[in-house]
Amino acid sequence: MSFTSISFLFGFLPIALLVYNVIREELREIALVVLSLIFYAIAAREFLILFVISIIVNVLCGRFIYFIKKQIGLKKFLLFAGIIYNIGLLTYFKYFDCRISSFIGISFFTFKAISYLCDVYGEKVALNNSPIHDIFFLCFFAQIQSGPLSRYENMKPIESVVREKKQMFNSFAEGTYRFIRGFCKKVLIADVLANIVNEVFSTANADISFRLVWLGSICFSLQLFFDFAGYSDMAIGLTRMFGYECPENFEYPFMTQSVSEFWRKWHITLGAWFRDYIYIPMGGSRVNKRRVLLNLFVVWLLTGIWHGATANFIAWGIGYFVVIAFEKISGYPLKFKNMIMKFIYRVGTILFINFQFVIFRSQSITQAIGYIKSMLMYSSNSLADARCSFLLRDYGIFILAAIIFCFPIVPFIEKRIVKKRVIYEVWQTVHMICLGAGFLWAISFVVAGANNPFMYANF
Amino acid sequence: MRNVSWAERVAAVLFILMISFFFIKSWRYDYNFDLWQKQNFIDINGSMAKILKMNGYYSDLGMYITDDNYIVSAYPKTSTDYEYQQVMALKNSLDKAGINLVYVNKPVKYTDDEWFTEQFGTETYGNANATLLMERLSNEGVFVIDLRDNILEDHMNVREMFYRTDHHWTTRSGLWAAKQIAEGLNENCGYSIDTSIYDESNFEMITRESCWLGEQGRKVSQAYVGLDDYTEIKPKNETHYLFATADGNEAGAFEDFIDETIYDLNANVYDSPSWHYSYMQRECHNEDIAYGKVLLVGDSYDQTTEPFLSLGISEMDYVVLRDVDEQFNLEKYILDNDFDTVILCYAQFMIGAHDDEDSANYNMFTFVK
Repeated sequence: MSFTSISFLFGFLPIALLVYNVIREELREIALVVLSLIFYAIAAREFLILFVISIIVNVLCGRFIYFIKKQIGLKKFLLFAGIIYNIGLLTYFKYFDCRISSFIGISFFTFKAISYLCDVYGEKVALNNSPIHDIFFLCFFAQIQSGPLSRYENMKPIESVVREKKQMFNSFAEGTYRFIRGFCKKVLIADVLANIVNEVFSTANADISFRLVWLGSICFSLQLFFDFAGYSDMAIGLTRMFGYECPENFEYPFMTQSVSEFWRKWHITLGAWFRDYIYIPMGGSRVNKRRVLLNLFVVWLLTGIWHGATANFIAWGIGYFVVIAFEKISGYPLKFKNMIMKFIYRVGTILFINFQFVIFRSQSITQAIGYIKSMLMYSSNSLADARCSFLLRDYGIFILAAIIFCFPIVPFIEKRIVKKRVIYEVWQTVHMICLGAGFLWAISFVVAGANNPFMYANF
Repeated sequence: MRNVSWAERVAAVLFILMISFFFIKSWRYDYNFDLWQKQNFIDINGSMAKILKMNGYYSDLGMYITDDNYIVSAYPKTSTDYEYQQVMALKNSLDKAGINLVYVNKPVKYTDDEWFTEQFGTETYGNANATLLMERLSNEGVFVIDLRDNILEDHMNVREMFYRTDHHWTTRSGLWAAKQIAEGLNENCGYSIDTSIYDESNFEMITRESCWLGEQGRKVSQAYVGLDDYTEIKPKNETHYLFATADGNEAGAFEDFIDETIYDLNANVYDSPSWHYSYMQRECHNEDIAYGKVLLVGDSYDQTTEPFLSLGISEMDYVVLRDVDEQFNLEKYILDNDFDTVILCYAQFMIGAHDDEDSANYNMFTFVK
């Protein structure tokens, strides 16, 4: 069950909100666990039992690790047993069982479970008396499909911080706003651009042209961003609607000066996970340069493999390793004093990211090489060029909107007018009306059948 | 937590009211979920696509829309080998039994593939496929009526022959096609049908304007393409038919080909049955005509063709191969029923359907097993 499906929006969500709000406060987490399991049963019934077993295994491991603080050997054993169980399950279903796409959220669940075990082992978190909270952390329906990869310590109910009803409603209102914004990003931009991307990437190399491949690659970069950022907005929104905090996952990643900075703004929680549970335990940057390079290589190789075991994902990961290692060792682009050089590097960064996304989207490394070759060598094909013009005419407004909203236009305007009270109020009203209209339009796309699964649901 | 504006709070209240209201209104008493106002949402989608002039937005549903709201589709290239081999196998079998075979090629909504490419920047092969197959069949002595040639001869505009919102041709086109086929039967199959019976002056025409939405239109919305007109056509003269039923024969008239209950102007245009199917193909005996026993192997275009064609033929039967079960043997059926003529009457997008195992029309050219 996707967040953008009609059954979720007008079926599951109102029931979940109703149950959550009428039930006694101390029973709310139990209710959310039950709702999450129902959500999972609807989305991936054949894996429900395995999912429940995995939750129990992890919570038992976590609780034992927590309560046997002094038996270091046993603690270590339980930690490794838990990690091996999670990675074994992920590896089996990701690389040896073709049903991975049906095992909703297995990748994200694995990462959350490992962070839970490691944090408990490292005594970074204090478990409360109720294992229900641990179960809830691992299975909450708002985050189970594709993250964000929140940490146990951050999964706190907002009411434990501020108990006022007004604050709770504000949290709900903010969550609603984020959910609607994400819904619009996903349906109105990502899914519409998917029409272009799917067509271009399924066209044989012989039938494409320079213009068409560039259109396809740019649209894919935009599609992936709006798809995943839209999903993340919805997940964050839902988490807040149910009274919990959730970490941000995107921060206008195309507003970047370097590839390293891009990854601090793109899929933030995944980057943080690799940093905290792979890179830093290996020594991070506080070792000699060779070791730093090795650490970076391992992180990016694993990032590539996590996305898929095929050569194109490994090449994609290594591509990032090469450039990020260069930036780390050389100190560029921070070393540039010249604005022109900084600008050139910034453009080069965006182009590099675009090429990387082509590798990411391709079915094989051969297709990726062929596609990139077509992007680098000018070729004309009258039919492909005509098709390109047609697609630009048909989808131009969506592409333009996608490019505009890639950049922090709305925060920029709000920052400028926030102190001019009347203008700000008018802006807020217009903003909400536009968002509401966009939401209705987005629902119309879903009802009309133009709805695609979330791209990161496959990972 | 950042400051939440009053507009956000109002939006949150409206959101929760909206999803709750839709939840309550969408659950039916039989516990099925049927989204309330679903058609209005489809109309919103279509309206926006129209405002933004998105002619290719519904291409993933196989449809492109011209600036004047005429829905067309693209068709993939095919070798025509399977179709050719099957038609020839059937011809050889029928030749041995002395039965005439006629192949009728019915056009799609455009007769020039290049026009489509110029409009939408993508290739289509519907006409090229048909031209190739007709040439191959003609060269092997199959009698072919390619209605695209007749359209050119009669200086007709193909776009006026089809509904804008449906892939079928109109009732008038069905009547016109019946006349072309009858002329073909006279020329090549020893028939002597008085083809003037198909002149429009012999028919009563009742036109209802902007009254129905075709199958294609339902997917892109009424708001985008509007409604189509519909013309009900009935002969002015009295007719006498015997229709085959499960219990034997039933006497009737031409009007019994038509289910007029479908012409409900108050019905929801999205839910009502397709008006094209108000005309039915029926196994019939025209008691006013003495000669001819024809089997029409066709498709849904013939909902309108077969009733009109039957006005000049004594006995008519029909087969739609996608609707028969696996045990059905066309050759045996033809021989057992003593047909003198078999008409293979296909819309040209059927050519190549056998390339796709998932196609509903996969078996349409499987004549000989």
